[in-house]
Amino acid sequence: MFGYAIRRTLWMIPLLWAVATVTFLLMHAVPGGPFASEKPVPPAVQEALNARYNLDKSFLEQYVLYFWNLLHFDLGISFRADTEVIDVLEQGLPITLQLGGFAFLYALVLGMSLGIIAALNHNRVGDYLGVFFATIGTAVPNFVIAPLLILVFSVELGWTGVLGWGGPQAWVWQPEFWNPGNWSLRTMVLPVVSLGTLPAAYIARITRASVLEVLSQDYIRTARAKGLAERAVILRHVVKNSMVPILTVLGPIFAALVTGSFIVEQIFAINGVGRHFVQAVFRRDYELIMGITLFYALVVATANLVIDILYGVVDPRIRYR
Amino acid sequence: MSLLKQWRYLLLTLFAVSALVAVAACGDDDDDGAGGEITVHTTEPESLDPHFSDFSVDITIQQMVNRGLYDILPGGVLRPAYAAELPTVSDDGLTYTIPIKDGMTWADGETLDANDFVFGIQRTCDPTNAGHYQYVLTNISGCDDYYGGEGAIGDVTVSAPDDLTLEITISAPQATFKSILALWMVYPAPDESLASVDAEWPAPPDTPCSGPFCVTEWEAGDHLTLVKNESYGLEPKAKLDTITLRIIDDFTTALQAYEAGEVDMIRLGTVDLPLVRDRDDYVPQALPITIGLEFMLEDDLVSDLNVRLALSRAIDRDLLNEVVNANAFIPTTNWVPAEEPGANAEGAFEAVIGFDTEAAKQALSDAGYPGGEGFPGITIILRDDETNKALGAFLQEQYLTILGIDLTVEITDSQTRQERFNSGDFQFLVGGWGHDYPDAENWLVGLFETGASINKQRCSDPGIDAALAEAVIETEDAPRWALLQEAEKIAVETLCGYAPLYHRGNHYMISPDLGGVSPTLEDHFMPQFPEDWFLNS
Repeated sequence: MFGYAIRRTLWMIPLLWAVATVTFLLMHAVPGGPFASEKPVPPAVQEALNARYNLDKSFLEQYVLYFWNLLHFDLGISFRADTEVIDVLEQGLPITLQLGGFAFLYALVLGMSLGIIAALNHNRVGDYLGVFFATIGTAVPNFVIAPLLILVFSVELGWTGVLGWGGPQAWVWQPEFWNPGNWSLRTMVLPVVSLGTLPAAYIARITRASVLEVLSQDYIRTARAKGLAERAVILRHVVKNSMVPILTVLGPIFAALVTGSFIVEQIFAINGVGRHFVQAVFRRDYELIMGITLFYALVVATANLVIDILYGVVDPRIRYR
Repeated sequence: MSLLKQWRYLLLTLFAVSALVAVAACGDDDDDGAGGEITVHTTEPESLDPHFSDFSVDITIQQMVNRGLYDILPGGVLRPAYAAELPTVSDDGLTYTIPIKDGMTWADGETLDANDFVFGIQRTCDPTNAGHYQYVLTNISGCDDYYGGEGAIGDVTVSAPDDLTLEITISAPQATFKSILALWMVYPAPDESLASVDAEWPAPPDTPCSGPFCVTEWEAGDHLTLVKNESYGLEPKAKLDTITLRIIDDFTTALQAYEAGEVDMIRLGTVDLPLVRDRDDYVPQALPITIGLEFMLEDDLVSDLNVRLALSRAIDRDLLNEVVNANAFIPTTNWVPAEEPGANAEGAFEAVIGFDTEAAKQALSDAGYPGGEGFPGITIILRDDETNKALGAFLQEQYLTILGIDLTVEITDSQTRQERFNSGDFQFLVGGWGHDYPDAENWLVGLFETGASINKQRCSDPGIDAALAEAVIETEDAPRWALLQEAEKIAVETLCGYAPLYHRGNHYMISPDLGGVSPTLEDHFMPQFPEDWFLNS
């Protein structure tokens, strides 16, 4: 297992290189540059701007220079903000990770609960309600859910906030993160629900299907026949043996929540990485685009690795060589 | 496990979530609007450097935290700010002498005097700063050469004979130069605290501050904080203690935040107008901005005047304003808004380029495409947003129905559109102009002369060139304006680059608790003169 984890980690290096190369190619293929303006700028001034950000170099030179800097953990400079890309990421990452993390927890708890209840009440009211929620949650996109929630809970009822994220701009190892005064549930609830409802619905469906399959297994019948309490049957045998298919989707879901939060960030004016990414693309802020893309690739690769390792934990029959 | 037991767990979970929401709802929140603090909507600025910016959001904020020699009031009236009085102009019209008020300081206590205005003008002319509005100062001798890297800073003819006197020498008499002295590219720069003329404009909290408010914080993507400048030497002083500029990209989100009481003043998008038009806190503001079709006159198809006339005359501008803009703007066939000094009367060109289906068909026929037969098709480039998409669909329908031609709508992002516009790689697109100072000159000079720096449409007409060449050196308003009107007439009636569609405005929601907000005269994101704002409660 340890060797497998090491090998997978090392494979991330060529993976990230490939992602970065493709992104670099696409970025420079798109028309428009970062300094395009309607007002006239003399050639000398334009040349000075290009030189400052190495845009006067050939494509190959820029490519080599970027990766050389990357090897030294230098992600470059954001043109528009004229600040280090790493500083921009440092500003937005805690918020995006908090939002994605809480949305993931919400989706996991709600989705698995509904899925288990639906399966245990197969073809009865509980099942129908679970499937109904799963269908609605899957069909209604978050950019529809979010404004509706804002209208009802913020504007009409005044229970929740509209703007921003209610958590501190701090990492989990910083003391500000653990200060309750820095958190506002009122502002967190709607972004979390908006972002997490679709994955919750998806998890509910997967959970329901997986639990139904496990419930039909002989060992479950045997456990019941031996007089094991139903709660123990469910928690010790059914849930645990249902986890493999659920785990399969959790990795991509977590990655999607972290990397796909830009719509929710835009709607709630949350200053996260997703919002910076969208603006960087529109502004042709090349180095910021590269930095965020690499971060997203790292998140996806890491999430998949963690899930693969968890397979072995959940199902001892699975062993990696 | 019984159904009740199963549902017990879900019910417990739901109760826990509800409890969290209830606790959250009872939790403390931002205390907007109390004790002289307000929150105002903005989008992300690009720079706080007044000698660099051409972005309306930037200029809005810069005018909150800076003041210059003069303010421009309704009707183009100049009100002295840091200038003690209006400038004295030499007999030859070339030298402007401006007395500066004594005893003025920056927010940090540094003396604010004529030397700071010299420094500011030099910064705008400096090639390292790459000021986007440098071209407005083209008449200051030496500025163009210095900006282009061919001259020295000492060649820029701006000086301070003493600490309270600013002297500017221009190349040729210019009737509108006094108005230019009120613009942001002439704002002062602290010559004692900035290391050099090409030094970067300091970021908050060290941003130079000469206005009623100072920007103390800029959290990119989230907000800027403006606090009252206690050292502000001009009148009136700010009444509010703090203005938080909340960065909200989505205008519908801004409206929802306003409705929820989190923001005291917002800009509205046209899509939300029907929801609020009848409310007392809805405030529309007409602006000196014209939006229209922009033609690339070097394109083989669009270079034909008859084609352009067909495209212009097939557009029902009233219907466009109703369908696309929710009646938010003012349909027009004028390029220069009629309220601008030196403009033609509203409707002066309606009969030549305005909506007329028969005239449109005739023009297309005169171009060699009767009924649209044989027309090769044409492409319009539009910036990617909901209004432009609706505009594209509207134009497609109009052209197909009236002219029988196919219009291809190319939706692009802003940078791609800008690149194609700058390089002339387009047939036509939608764009426009908003004035920098109130005079017809600003709408024509630099935009329509052959080879002019902002003449991206490649308009070239000897009549326009002659009229504008004469207008820029005419110092008397009446004859000058007559020449400008003539130039506009030719430009509009020959659709020399532009086919005006409507005058754009801004639309605001302003909390009843917020008073003193006066109409915005310029293309700013928010109303001007925040020192007049106050809280009613």
